[in-house]
Amino acid sequence: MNNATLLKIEDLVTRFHTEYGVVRAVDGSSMHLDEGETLGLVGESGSGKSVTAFSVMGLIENPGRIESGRIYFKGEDLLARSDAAMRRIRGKEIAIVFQDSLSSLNPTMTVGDQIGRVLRYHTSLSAREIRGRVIELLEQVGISEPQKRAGNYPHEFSGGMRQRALIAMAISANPSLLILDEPTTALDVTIEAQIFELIEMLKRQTSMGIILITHDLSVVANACDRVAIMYSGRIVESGSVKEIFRSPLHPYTRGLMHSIPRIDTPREEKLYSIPGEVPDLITLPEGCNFQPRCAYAKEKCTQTDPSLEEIETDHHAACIFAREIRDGES
Amino acid sequence: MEKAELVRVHNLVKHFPVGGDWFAQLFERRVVHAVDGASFTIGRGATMGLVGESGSGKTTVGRMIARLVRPTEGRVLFEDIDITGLSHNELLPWRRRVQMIFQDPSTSLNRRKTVGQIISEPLKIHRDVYRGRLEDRLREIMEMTGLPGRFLNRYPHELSGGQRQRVGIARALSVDPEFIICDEPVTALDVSIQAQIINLLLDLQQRLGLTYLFIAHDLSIVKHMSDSIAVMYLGQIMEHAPARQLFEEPRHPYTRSLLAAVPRLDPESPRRKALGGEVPSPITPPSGCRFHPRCPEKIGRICEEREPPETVLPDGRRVKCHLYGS
Repeated sequence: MNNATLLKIEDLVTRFHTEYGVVRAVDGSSMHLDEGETLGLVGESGSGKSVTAFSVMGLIENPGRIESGRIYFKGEDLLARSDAAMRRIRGKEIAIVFQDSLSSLNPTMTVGDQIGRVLRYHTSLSAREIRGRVIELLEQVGISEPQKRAGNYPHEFSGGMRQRALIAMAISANPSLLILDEPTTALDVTIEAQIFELIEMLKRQTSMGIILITHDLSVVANACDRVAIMYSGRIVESGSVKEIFRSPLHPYTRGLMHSIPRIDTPREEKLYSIPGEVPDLITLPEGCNFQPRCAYAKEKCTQTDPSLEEIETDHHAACIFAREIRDGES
Repeated sequence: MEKAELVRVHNLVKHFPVGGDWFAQLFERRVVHAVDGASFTIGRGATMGLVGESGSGKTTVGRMIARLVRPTEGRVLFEDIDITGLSHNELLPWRRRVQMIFQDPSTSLNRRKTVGQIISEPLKIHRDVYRGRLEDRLREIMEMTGLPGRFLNRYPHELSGGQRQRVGIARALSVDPEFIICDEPVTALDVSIQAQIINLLLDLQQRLGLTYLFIAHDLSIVKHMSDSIAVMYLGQIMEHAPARQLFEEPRHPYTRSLLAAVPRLDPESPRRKALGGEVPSPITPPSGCRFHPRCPEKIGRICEEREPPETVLPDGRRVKCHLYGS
C-alpha cells in the first residue's frame, strides 16, 4: 500500500483530573491510518479507545485534558488548531457515529432536518438542494421510501434504521475520516451484519479512512485492514489484521483471543480466562500495566515499562517478551 | 446423553396487552405475541440454550418457567408437578429449587444492601434449607463463587461488574437450587471477564449437578454452554437440536441465516452474510410462517398461508419449516 497517511497520532496523553485523582485514560498511545484504510481499535471498557476518538475530534472537556502528544490529520497538527477551526473540521473532515443512536439524535426534529442541518453548516447548498441531497443520502444508506422517511422522527425508526440515519449524517459532508464508536453494539447480529455491509459499500465508493472502535475481535477480523489493541490507556499491539490474528505477540491479545468461545471450532471443555481485573486508571501497577494479570510476567516486568516496538514488518507489540513469544511460535 | 427429565414446557403462550385505555384493551384486544407455543424438555444436569434476537421471546419463556410471569396458556412441569396453577404459597417450596441469574448485576442487586445481606436474603425466606450458622453458609457460598470473604460487608457499587455477577450467582446458589435460569448472564461484562464467569458456571454445574436454561443472543457463548439449543424467532421455536448438530448442519433457514451473519474470529474465513429486512412487529406477526417475509429459502404460497407444524427429523431434532413437512 502506498496510500497517503491520513491520521497519525504520536504519544497522545489524555488525562481526567477528578476529585479522586488523575485518571490516565490515554497514556502515551501512537497509531496511524492511511487513506482508504479501516483500522479496528479494540479494547475492553476503560481501555481508552473512546477517549482516543474524542481526542481526535477535539471533544475532550473539563476535567479532561490532552496533556501531550501530536495528532496529525493530513499532515497538520489538530492540537494546534483553534476551537473555531476544529468546528469546521468536525462533521466535515472528520465525522463520528456513536453507539447509542437514540441519544445521538434529537427527538424533537425529523431525521431529514437533522441531516440537513449538517449540510447547512458545512456546505453552501440552497435549501432545495439540501432537501434533495438528504433524500439521496438516505437512499444511499439503504433506507427505503426516503422521501417519506425523511419526515419521520427518530422514535419512528428501528434501531438499525437509526444507525443508518446517523451514518447518512456522518457521510453527508464527504468526510475523509469516519470514526465509528461501537456502531452496532446495541443491535442484533443480523442487523449488525447489514450495517457492516453498508460500511463495506461506502468503503468501496469513497477513499474514506475509517476507525472502528469495538470490543469485539470477530467484528475486526471481518471488517478491518489493520488493528490496534488497547489496554489501560496504551496500545499494546498493532499491525495488519491478517498477521495479528495469525500470530498475536502480546500476552493480552493472546489471552483475549483464547478466552472467546469459537463458533467455528468444536467446543472445548474450558475457556482460557485472563485472571484478575482491569487495573484502576488512577493507580496503575508498577512497570507494565498488564503485568499483574500476565501469564508470561517475570520480575523485570514490574521494573520496565515496555514501549510499542516493531517486531515484524508492520507488527508492533509492547512487551519485552514479544520476540520470545514469536520465536516460540514457529 | 439420556438424562431424566427435570423440566417440561408444554405449548407455552404469553400475550401482553398493549396500549390504549381499558376500552381499547377490552374491545380491540391488541396484544404482543411475546411467546406463541413453545414446548421443550430439559434433562436433569443438562443445559438447554435459548437463542434469538431481541423480541424473540426468549426472556419471557425464562420468566414464565420461573413463574415471574403467568403464562396465558400452556403448562410448565417440574418433575411432573404442574406449577402453572399453583398459588403463591404453594409455589414457595418450589421456588427454592428454581433460581434465576439476571443480565445486569448492577440493577439486579439491591444497592442499599451489603454483599452478605444480598446472598443471605433467600436463606432467610427458605429457613429449612440450612440449619447451621448463617455465617458458615455464607463463607461456603462465597468461596464457591470466587468471592473473597472481605467482600461480605461491601456494597455492590464497590465491586466490579464481574464481581457483582458472582454475587448474583452466589445469591442464586445460596438455597441449593436444582435448576437455574441464566438470562444473558455475561452480556454486560467485558470479554476477559466473560470467560471467567462462563467457566464458573460450568464448574458449578459439574460440582453441584445443576440444570441450566441458558438464555443469550450470542451464539458462540450459547454453543459453548449448551447440550441442546432452541432457536427462537418472533415468539416461536424455529429449531431445537443438539448443540453440535445445530452448528454443523443447521436445518431451519432462520438458523442458517443467523449463523451466516455471525462474524468469525478468523480473518481468512468467509465474510459474514447479512439477512435482509427487520423483525416484524410482534403485535401483528406475519401470517403462515413468521419468518417468511425474510426467508431466503421460501418455497411459495404455503409459507405465507399455513403455519408450518413442528417436524421431528429422523435424527431427533425439531424444525418448524415447510421444507421438512411431509
